[in-house]
Order: sequence, then C-alpha cells, then structure tokens
Amino acid sequence: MGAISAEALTWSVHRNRLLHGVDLDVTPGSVVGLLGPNGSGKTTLLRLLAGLRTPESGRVLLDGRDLTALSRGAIARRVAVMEQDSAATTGDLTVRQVVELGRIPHRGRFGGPSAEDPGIISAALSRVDLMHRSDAAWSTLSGGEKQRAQLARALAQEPTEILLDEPTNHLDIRHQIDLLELLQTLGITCVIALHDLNLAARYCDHVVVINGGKSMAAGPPDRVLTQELLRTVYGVDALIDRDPKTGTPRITFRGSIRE
Amino acid sequence: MPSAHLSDQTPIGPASRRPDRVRPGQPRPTPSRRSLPRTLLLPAGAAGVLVLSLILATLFGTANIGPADVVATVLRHVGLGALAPSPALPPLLDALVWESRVPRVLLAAVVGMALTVSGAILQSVTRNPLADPYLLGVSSGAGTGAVAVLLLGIGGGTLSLSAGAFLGALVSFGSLLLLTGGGRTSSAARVVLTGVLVSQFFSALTSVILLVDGDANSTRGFTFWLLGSLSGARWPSVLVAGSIILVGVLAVMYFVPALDAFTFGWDSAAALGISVTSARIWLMVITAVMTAAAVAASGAIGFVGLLVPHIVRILAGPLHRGLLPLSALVGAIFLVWVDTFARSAFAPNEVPVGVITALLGAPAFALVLRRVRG
Repeated sequence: MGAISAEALTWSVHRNRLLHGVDLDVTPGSVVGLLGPNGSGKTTLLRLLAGLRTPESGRVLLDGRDLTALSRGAIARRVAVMEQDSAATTGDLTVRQVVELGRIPHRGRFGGPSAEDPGIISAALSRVDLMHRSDAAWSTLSGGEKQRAQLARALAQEPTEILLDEPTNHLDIRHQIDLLELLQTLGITCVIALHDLNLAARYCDHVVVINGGKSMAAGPPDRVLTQELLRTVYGVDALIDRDPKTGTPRITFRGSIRE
Repeated sequence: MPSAHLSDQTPIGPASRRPDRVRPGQPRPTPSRRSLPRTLLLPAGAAGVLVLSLILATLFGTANIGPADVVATVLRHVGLGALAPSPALPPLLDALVWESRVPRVLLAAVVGMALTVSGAILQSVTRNPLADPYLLGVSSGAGTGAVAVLLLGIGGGTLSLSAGAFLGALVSFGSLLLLTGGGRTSSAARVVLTGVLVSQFFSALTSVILLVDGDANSTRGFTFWLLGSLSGARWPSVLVAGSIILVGVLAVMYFVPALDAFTFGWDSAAALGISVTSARIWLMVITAVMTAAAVAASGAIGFVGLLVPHIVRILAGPLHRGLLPLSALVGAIFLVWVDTFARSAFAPNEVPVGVITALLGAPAFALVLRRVRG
C-alpha cells in the first residue's frame, strides 16, 4: 500500500496566497476528508497533491519520493483525480469510452486497448452502477450519472490514491451515500474535498479542516468537529451530539453567527 | 514509510475484481467484439474507395480516356510498363493524363487529407468543435505571404509563391496562438472570434498589397488562388506537399492518447499522465506545417476540416485512434470528388474548389453550431 503526504505546501496566484504551509499526513488506505468553506484552498491542495501544479514551496511525497521527481505517467499510474466539474469537448463519447480514458496511463504510445482493458472497464462501470448505461452518449447523462462515470474512469486507472473534489455535488442523497460507502470499501487511500459535514463525520477516518489556506485542525472527525471549530471556521452555531446507532458525530445547524 | 513501488501490478481496490475478466467460457464484453473488426474494416474499405476514386476522377474531362488507359499510363511512368493492361496512349493524351490530371487528383487527395486531419486535431487541441484551419485564419495568412513574395519581392527572388504562403501560414497561426494565450483558452467562442480577427487582418493586408502593387492580371490570378483551386497542380508541388503531409499524418498518430485525454480539459489530461504543454505545442506545430503545405499548393480551401471530421465521427466514433486514420482517407476522397465536380460540372468554365467547399461547409457549420448549443 502506497502512501501520500505533503509537507509545508505553499501556493499563490497573482501574489494572492491560497495555501500557507499546509501539512498532510495520510494513513494508507484511509478515507480523508478535506473540509472548509468555499475558497478555503481545498481544490488547490488537491491539485498540488495530484502534481497538476508545482508547489511554490514545500513538497508532496508519494512513497517518500518527491512528486516533482516522478514522470507524469508514473504519477498517473498511482494517483487518480476526479474533478468537480467536467465538461467534455464533444458529447459524443459513450460512457464506456469515457471510462476507457482511465486506461491511458497504462498504455504505451500508439497503444490501443490491451486484452485486459474491457474487463477492467466493465468492472469499474459495475462498481458505480452504470453498466446499463455503458452505451449511452455523454451528453444524455444526468449530472449524477456524469459524476459516477467520472468515478468509474478514475477507478479504471487502478490507482492506489484517489483524489476527489466535491464528488457528491449533483448526486441525490442515495447516490451520495453509495459513493462514500463505495470509497470506504475500495481499500485505497481517498482524499475527498467535502461540503457536507455530517457525511464527512460518518464516512471519513480522518478530516483536515482548512480555512484561508491554513490547516486549522486535523484528526478523527469526533475530535476535530467541535462546536468551537464550526464557530470559528464556518461562522455557524451548531449542536453536536452522537448518532445513537453509529456513534459518529451528528451536527445540527442552528444559525449563522453575526459578529 | 512503505517501500516504493510504482509498478503497474500494485494490487489495489478495484483490482480485487480483476480476476473476473479472465474467467474462462465467459463471453467478452460486446464492445471489444464489435469494435475490433470495425476499426479495421472502416479504414480498409475507405482505402479501397480512395484508390478507386483516384482512378475514376482522372477519367473526368473532355478527352475520352478509359480506366485501363489511366492505370497503364501511371504504370508506364513509374517504370512498371510491363504490367500495363493496355497499349500506350498517343503522346498528347499521355501528357494530359500524366502531367495534368494525375497530379491534380493526387494533390486533391493529400490536401483533403491535410485539411481534414488538421481540423480534427485543432478541434481536440482547442477543445472547440468549430475549429478549422480556414476559419482560424491560417489560410488567409498564407495568402498574404504569397502576395508579399510575388508582388513586393520579399526574399529577393529566393522565395517561391509556395514558400511565401508557407511562411504566411506559420505567421498567422503563431498570431492566433499568441492572441489566445498560447492556445490555453478553452472558450470556443474566443478561439473562433480570434480566428475571425486574424483572418480579417491578413485578408486586408493582402488586399492592400494587391491594390498598391498589382495589375489587373495578377489580381485576377490571385483571386482564383485565394478562393482555393487545385488547377495549378504540377508534380513538384504534389511531391513536396504530399511528403510533408504524409509525414505529418503519421506523426500525429503518436499523440492519439493525448488527443483523447484532452476531452475533459488540461488538468484531466495531465492527471491521465499526459505532458499537456509539450503535446499541445507539438500538435499545433505539426498542424501548422501540414496546413501551410496544403495552402501553399492549393490556396485557401475552407470548411473541409470542419465538415469531414464531424461526418467521420458518426462512423468511427470520437476516439482518435479510429477517427484520425479514417479522417485522412475520407478527407482525401471528399476533396478528390469535390474538385472533380468543380472542374467538370460547369465545363468549359471551372469553379474554384474552395467555393464549392464553402457552399457545402457553411450549412454544416450552422448544424455543428446548433449541436454545440444544444
């Protein structure tokens, strides 16, 4: 099992510092939630972790090796990314073809599909419950189906780490739960930017709260998600108790705090 | 820290279901069964149609020549006269076939190939289904280059019209890239509008040079060339354009994975292991060179790069390992026949082939635009 971690990541756009020395230590195989208000730096952190941007300072380590020392192809055979919004150039691709894109890192140049590809693609499609839609054109999919197809594409990449930016957007509540339960059963490291704190409390092994580009707290959800933290980071007043069945934190929002 | 292992065989999550795929006796998923012969059959069929088209298109014209005469003449000229199926044609007809019709039909084929493959690549690289070398202003830049060499004497007589057109095409393509931020812009509207801008600017420049320096004769000849015409086809231009274009078409096949990966944008492609910047620069350069070679030989033939790839996508699907080879072949067939129509339908007058492609292409543009909106 591989390990991904980050040390003191800093990143700016137009002299606007979006991340200030963020550390991330992830237990291999765990589900990690990145929490924080809009614009807090979650997406930026995910991009740096995927090697899509080079950090201004600090570094991302994959099995102890600096990401900048690895080729794009070597990273792509390990780390899959599921973006928040994915607009296709053409709507003509079928769902199966979209998932097939996930096999690109495993192919050589000029490479066509290998004998193993169809099976891997079908397995990924079944995992996200889209087998029945495999021949449907991308442009005919609902927002939720597109999201699941992108997850299948990431799974077809056979990653050891998967980075997801708000994967539950556009999903109805049942598919949100299905997706997070699926991620738990994969047994691979998942780093997920999430908005819904109750889902994070229920499904993440570890959460990291980011605000203004700084890491505010990190640890198991029941220790990190406190009334005090929600007040300072989100500016909301919340009641936190425990789910009687699962024992995970349960958050009830009572209103925003105006100061 | 666990040991480093960056190999493909790392046993991980989704892989736990992988053994399923080798279970004996289980039928393979349908797409592999259906698409494999299809990916071979379509290009093989198209290649056959192309060879037939090349022979048949050579027959069109005033003199009465049969298919066997065409094959025989070509074989004799490439040194395989022993295989010729019919006796030699009289010298005058022989020259008509070998010096005029054969080069013209071959030039139509390679120019059609270049414009279509360039269109398909530009559509992926600019992430814009409306991209076409003509619409993006490359062709009008070539026109300016040609006029500048012929009338202004730029290059001091060392540059030919073709070389001027070639340089002009590269300059206009470079301007387009600079104005769209190295082609980083993904907004379809911005790329097309910038193309219109580049195209208008170079057309205006061409007009100024023609008005200031041209006489009535050179202006008329030039207008014909600017509209796009294959009537000037001779062996030297066919061989130069043909070899550049064939090398270009083979070279882009190296970038098939990148072209597919661009579907969901640059970050998504990078996450699939593509070196996005270098792939995009290479593809832009190859496209510019192929287009420049085509335009230098034939003038500005518009809309082929827009029309044909969209038709081919219906047959071969949007993935580039199927799309590119079939686009090359269908583009060649398309322009061979459109040019045959342009030179024989209104005989003895000839219509510039670019006029016909624009008549077909403009409605196609409207259709694609509707689909993009929807």
